[in-house]
Amino acid sequence: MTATKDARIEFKTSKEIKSMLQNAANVLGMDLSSYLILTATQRAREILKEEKVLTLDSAEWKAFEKALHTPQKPTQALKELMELEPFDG
Amino acid sequence: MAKLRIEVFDTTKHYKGLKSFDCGNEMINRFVQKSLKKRISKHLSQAYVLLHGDRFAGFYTLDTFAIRREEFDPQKRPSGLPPIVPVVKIGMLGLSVHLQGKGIEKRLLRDTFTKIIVISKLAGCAGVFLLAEKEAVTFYESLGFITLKETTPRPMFLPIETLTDPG
Repeated sequence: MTATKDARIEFKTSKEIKSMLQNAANVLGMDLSSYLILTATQRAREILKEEKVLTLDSAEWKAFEKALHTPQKPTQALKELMELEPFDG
Repeated sequence: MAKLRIEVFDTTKHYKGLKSFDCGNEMINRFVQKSLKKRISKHLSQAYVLLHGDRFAGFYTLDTFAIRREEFDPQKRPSGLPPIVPVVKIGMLGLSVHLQGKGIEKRLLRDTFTKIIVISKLAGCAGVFLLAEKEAVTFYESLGFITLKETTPRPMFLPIETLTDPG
């Protein structure tokens, strides 16, 4: 990220939320703006990274693999759903 | 009740009721009012519109998506699957508050499933993926979805084989 600060963000919130955010910033020894930028950019990176792909660890992958290799029979609820009336079009 | 019809979202068309769409979820309403058309125009998602008479009464989006295995996994063992598996994600789904509680939500979901079955035949897709809100997890479990990760919202998956199995 560049150090040039040539854009501005302003927004309103409640006293309670501002105070909570300020407290969290204090814990990290940061001022409120730096704290908000840091946490929001971290989250933004995750959101953008996860937009088209979900990453699974070993245990999670194993369960996924099992579901694919030994697919369950459709449940009664699924069968009933698939028998609902289609829309026109 | 006026006729319910589903069509592919037409970005050149003016949908009556789109700008005032209310499904009771503020985030989804804003998405429909501000972002839906842009996203579809850029071909980042596809959307399907539920028309009630001539009014925009509901919609859902479908996205190509992938489930991927962590690359630097110390416990990595051989797997019968490639490290990235293609799926289709039900991105958003919303129904006008006026039509809720009549079972139309389920018919919308049925419609997403039938489309995903077609996609799997045309291009290959291992199943249905979605992020379920806490309140919806039990419902999707009842349809056979499994949890992929214990996070909120919860990533859930239903194999295409289960969906196409006549039972």
